[in-house]
Amino acid sequence: MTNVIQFQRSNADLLAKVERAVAAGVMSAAATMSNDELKTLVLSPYRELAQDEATKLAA
Amino acid sequence: MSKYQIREFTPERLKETGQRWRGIAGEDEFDIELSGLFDWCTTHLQPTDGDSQAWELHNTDNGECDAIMEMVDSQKGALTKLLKLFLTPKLWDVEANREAVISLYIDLFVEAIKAGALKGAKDVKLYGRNDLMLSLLRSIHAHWQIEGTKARFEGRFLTISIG
Repeated sequence: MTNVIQFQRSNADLLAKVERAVAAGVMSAAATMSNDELKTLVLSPYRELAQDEATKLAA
Repeated sequence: MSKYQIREFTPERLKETGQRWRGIAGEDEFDIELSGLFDWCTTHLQPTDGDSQAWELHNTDNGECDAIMEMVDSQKGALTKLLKLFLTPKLWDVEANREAVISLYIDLFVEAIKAGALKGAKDVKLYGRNDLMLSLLRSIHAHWQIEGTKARFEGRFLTISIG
């Protein structure tokens, strides 16, 4: 934890720029997504995992 | 500052998270949608060379796990890859939680990049598993103008080099 705090302090400027770039990117892309698309984004990893399981069972 | 921290799962913490998520999703939904994830997590708590590991996105405000992240570190920690993100069922009602979901994705990517940089990884790779995830990553790439760092696409991976 101390390492994390030290890292954040000594790289505060860089981390702030990273946060701004990521936030701008995600918000811009998300603004074009409907609620259904956003829900698909959230649930797709679960669906993929279920498909992988089904494939393994079928093999 | 983000309210999130990426933390290693312990078996106890995983069990606790499973119980909480079961309570939110309900028995039937948990068995159908979530049990496979928790089965996978139980065998991916420890780092194994070349294999992925389950990590917790810990909410420091309320102590809950708001997402489970599948990540893999390369040998010698030169590279960190974020492969999959499983959000808490608390946020599955996207209509009611749209802002919280978007905010979580922002914090999650930032924390993954930060974790890679903290470990001294040369590159942090974020994987666009599907077109929607890819569109988020492409947009981050388009907004990335940070001196001394690089962001580039390698196939479906957004690769970020810091330092």
